[in-house]
Order: sequence, then C-alpha cells, then structure tokens
Amino acid sequence: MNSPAKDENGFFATQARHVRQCLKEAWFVGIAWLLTLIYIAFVVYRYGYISPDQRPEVPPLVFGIPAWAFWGVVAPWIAMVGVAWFFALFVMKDDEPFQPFPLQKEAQESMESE
Amino acid sequence: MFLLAAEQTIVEWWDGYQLDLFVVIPFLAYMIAVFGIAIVAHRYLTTKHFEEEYYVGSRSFGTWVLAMSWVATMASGGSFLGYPSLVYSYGWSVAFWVSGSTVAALVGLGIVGKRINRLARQTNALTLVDLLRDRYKSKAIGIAYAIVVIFVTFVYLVAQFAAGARILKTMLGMPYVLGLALFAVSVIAYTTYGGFRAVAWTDTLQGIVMIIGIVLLVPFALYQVSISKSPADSQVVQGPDAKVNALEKATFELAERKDPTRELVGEPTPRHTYLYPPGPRKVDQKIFKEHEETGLVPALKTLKSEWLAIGMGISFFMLRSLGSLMMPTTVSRMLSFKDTKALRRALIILAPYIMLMYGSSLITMNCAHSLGIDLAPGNSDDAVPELAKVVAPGWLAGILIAAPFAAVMSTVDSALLVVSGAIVRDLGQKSFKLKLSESGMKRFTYIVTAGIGLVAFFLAISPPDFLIDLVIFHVGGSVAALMVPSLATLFWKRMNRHGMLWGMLGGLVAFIISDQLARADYITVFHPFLFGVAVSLLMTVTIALMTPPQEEWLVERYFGKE
Repeated sequence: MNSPAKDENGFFATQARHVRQCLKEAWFVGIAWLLTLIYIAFVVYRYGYISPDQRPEVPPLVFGIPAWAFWGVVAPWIAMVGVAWFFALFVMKDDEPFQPFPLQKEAQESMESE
Repeated sequence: MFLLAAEQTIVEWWDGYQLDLFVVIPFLAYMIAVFGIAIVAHRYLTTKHFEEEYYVGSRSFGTWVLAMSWVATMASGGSFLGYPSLVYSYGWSVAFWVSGSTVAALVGLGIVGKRINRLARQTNALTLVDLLRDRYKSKAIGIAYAIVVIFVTFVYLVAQFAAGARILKTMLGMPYVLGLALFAVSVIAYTTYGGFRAVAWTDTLQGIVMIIGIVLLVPFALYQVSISKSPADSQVVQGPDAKVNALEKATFELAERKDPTRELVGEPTPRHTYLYPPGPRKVDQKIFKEHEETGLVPALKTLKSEWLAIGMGISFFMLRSLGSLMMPTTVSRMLSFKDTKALRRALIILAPYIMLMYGSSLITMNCAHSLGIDLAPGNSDDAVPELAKVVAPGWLAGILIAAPFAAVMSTVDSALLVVSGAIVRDLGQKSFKLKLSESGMKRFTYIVTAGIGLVAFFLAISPPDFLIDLVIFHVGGSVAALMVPSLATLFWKRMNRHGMLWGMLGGLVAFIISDQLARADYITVFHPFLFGVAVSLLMTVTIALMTPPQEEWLVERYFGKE
C-alpha cells in the first residue's frame, strides 16, 4: 500500500499539471484521428467506390496495389507512422514523479465505512 | 464413455498421421520456450506480493515487454487468421476495412496510457475495476463493469480457442476437437501457473514470432507468384523486372476472379469486383451448404448485400482505431508499465509494427488465388496455414505456422487473466467481500483461471463460420459499452457514478439490440457498435449532468486543483 502524500498542496498542483498535459496529448491524438478518417474516407469514396461500368479496363495500380488503396490507405499509413513518432518524441511528456493520493479526512471516513 | 471416445479419436488420428519434422520441430521448440518462460515467471509469484504480481507483474514492465505484449494481445487469431481470411475472400476492398489500424497504436497508447498508469499506482489498482471503484466509491459500478468485461471478453476467448484448434488441425492434421483440447490444456496450464508475468513475457516472444512469420511470408509468396505461369503474364513487365511485378501480376489475376456467391445464382460478376470496394457479395456458408446438399439454387433476393458499403467501411475505420482504446485485455497493459518513457518508446516500436503486420497479410492473401489456394466458402480461416505450406520451404513452414498460433495464444492468456481478475478480485474479493488466506487466494485464483479455460473449451467445440465475427463482437461490445464512460471517468470532472453506470449499460444493450437487427439485415448502413457508442454517449452525458456531481474531495484527488 502506498503511503499517503505528505505535501497535499504539492500533490494537487502536480495532479492538475498531469491532467492538463494528458488532455493536451489526447487532443493531439483526437485531431490526428479525425483528419486521418476524413482523408481516408474521402480518397476511398472518390477513387474506390466507382460503379463497375465506369471502372477502367486496365485497373490503375501503384506497386501492384490498386491506386485507390495505395493513396487512400497505404500512403496515409506511412504518414501516420511518422505522426506517431513525432507524438512520442515531441508531444508526449514524461510524467512527473508519482505521488500517492493524500489521505483526506473524507477519504479516511470513506475507507472506514467500506 | 467420453474418455473412450477421446482415446479412439487420438488413435485414429495417430494411425493416419504422417510425421512432418519440419513442421513439428519448430513448433515444439516454440512450445518448450513458452513453458520455460512460465516456469521462470512462476518464481516471481513466490517472492513478490501474489496478487500484484499475478495481475500486473508488479508494474515493472519496460518498453519491449509493453510493446510486444500490447500488440500480441490486440492482434489475436482475428488478425492472423480472421483478417487474412477476409482478404482471401474479399480481395483489395479489405484495405479500407483495415484502414483504422493506421492510427491504432497512436490512439491505443497515446490517449489513456499515461493517465491510467498514474491513477492505478495512486489507487493501488490491479484492474481497471479497482480504479473505477475508487473513483466512484460504488459497489454497483464495480459489479456492473466486471460483468460487462466478463461477457465481452468471454466471447473473445471462445473465438480464440476455436482459432487455436483450427491451426493445429491444419498443421498437424488433428481432428478439430483434439486440437482444441491440446490448445486448451497448454494455454490454461502456462497462464494459470505463471500469471501476468508469464503472459507478458510469452507475449513478447509471441509478438516477435508473429511479425517474423507474417513478414517472411511476403517474399516467399511474391516469389512463387513471379515464377508461376498465368494469362496475366502478358499484362506485366517481363524479363529481369518480372519478380518486382509479382504483386501486379497477382492483382491482375484477382481482377478476373469470379464471385462464387453471384455465380451460384447465375448473376454476372461486376468488373474487377475484387479490386474495388464494396467488393463481392457476402459469403454465406449456409447457402453454399444447402446448395451442395440439395442442389437447389438460392433465389437472388436471399443473398445478403455487398460486403463493404461505404458506411460500413467508415464504421470499421472507427472500430479498428477506437477498439484498441478501452479493450479490457489491452487496458490491463496500461496498469503494468514502469514509466512514461517505456510508453513513448513502445509507441515508436508499435506504429511501424502494426503497419507491417496488416500490410503483409494484405499482400500475401491477395496472392493466394494466383498460387492455386482454393478453399471452399466458409473454410477461408485456413488460408494462412495453407499459404505457408505452399510457399515456404519445409523448415520455415513450422515457424510460419507458429506465428498465428502465437497470436492466438497471446490473446487467450490475456483474456483468461482479465476474466479471472474480474471474477476473483472484482466480484469475489471487492464486491462480495470474500475473505481468504494468501494460500487460499492463490488456490482460488488458479482454480478460477483454469475453470474459465475449461468453460471456453466446451463452448468452442462448435465453432462459428467466420471467427472474425466473434472478434468483432468483442471489440464492438467493448467500445460501445466501455469507451465513452471510461474516457469521461479519466478526463471529465463532472462525470459521476450515475453517468458511468447508465452509459455503460445503455451502450451495451444498444449494441446487442442493433447487432441482432444487423444480423437480420435491418440496418446495414453503419456497424452496430456505432449505435451503441451513440447511446452510451447520450446516456453518459445527460445522466451525469442531471444527477449531483461527485464529491469535491474525490474530484480533487483525481484532477488536482490550481
């Protein structure tokens, strides 16, 4: 069992900074996710969902992959590897040293009632 | 009676079995390594705090163990058998289906990893339910969350048992039930004996075997395509560059493939149907079986719609990317790593790993038809082992076949521990206040873990047509029920126990209902999990806002104050 934090004010300030940083990181990922979804859905719909009578006689390929799949899925996939690396190296910050929860009066009461 | 039948099955199989050492030796070496790891891991159980060691490996895992155990758990039999089976059945349209994996690592590790890990340390949580129980001081939430986790994870477990048995059936020619028994005994034994550390370490080994196996298949498959003779040869560059264009050749051949479902009813196959979404019509094994047995041709209207309508494609992007976010089996990894550095480095490893893993299957399985692999509709889950047998030299086939087996094992062991944790700790100890001595608790934990495996074994005796259906049910159910309330728990101060409880139950019930309606083809535009997520979001937010906020001191503990 972790011992409760002694410096309560220090704990609360650290916890608030941790939450702010985590939210910032979550927003970065959320926006990257949304942009990827929009790009992939647009390219695949525009170049992949073609009615059979409008499909070219010789299908366009890039490295043997249908063009819609290459530009709509493979290319953004490679790009997202880069984005993930950027996120891991520059956006996500190392957490401050871990501090246990303070033993507030209410927490003590709650533990006793359990 | 049962034992006699089992004995007869074993004798019949052994009499007809032709020993292939190239397959058996690498496979046995792999199994010995797995059991060796479990024995070493078990030693930690005797020297450290039992429960903390058994469920979270004493929170000591670094980069490689975190990365490999996360991906090996996420990538199940679904990724190594079910997904290639889809590519085999539906061609290049599956590229859109899998596109959500482009961001799976980023979403899975980047959003919740750091936050869950810190809170788990602060609350001494060994499972996510421990954390929720502390956050809301609510027994009802602990019980409800544990039951949801048990339900969705158990479905997954059954699918993985079936996948393991199918691999052994293909590899060793074993009857399905015998393969199932062998798989069940081995995985239950090392998981029960070694606990989380054994699971994470074997996952690391399995993660490495998986990627080597699946990536190695690519050059072998392309080489075999390049030397095969076919009408498509005239469409690609010949001479020294011929090997470079092997994939091009396979794709051109695939372009001419006929849709077996349409053929059955005498409907022409649209041009290049395996190269473009929405792909061919859905494969319905029942229709093919009925046709085989009765010779009757089904009416066109009885056939299900095309495989991947645009709405379904978008749904699957969301499912595959968000699925990794709060899946019970992968979330348990977030409680076990030692620091943020390990998390960041794991992300650096996993982003390209996932691309290689799914990209490789996309290439190899689109070559399968060019290599003469012709499986009956409904048997396409055997596509990977069959391809490995055809394209790889004998000595390599054993390693290649061990890859999907490793994927299945690594998922089963994690799912076993998640369900065991939910029953022993979340329900037994915390909710129903079960008091046992340390040795009694050990025995109880071992019995429950083994018991869950046995129940899954019996349920997997009659497997479904497509394993991926059960996997998708698990992922869809997890996302629909757990994602929104769990995210709100971690990031929203105004969230309270009522929002949590109703958001979770509402999402699950909505998912189950819409899943049943979708099976009857009443709703086909979007995947049922999206309806579950929408209901969960609505209920979480409205009910949290309509009910009193969480006590201030609790909110301050979790969110701090300026």
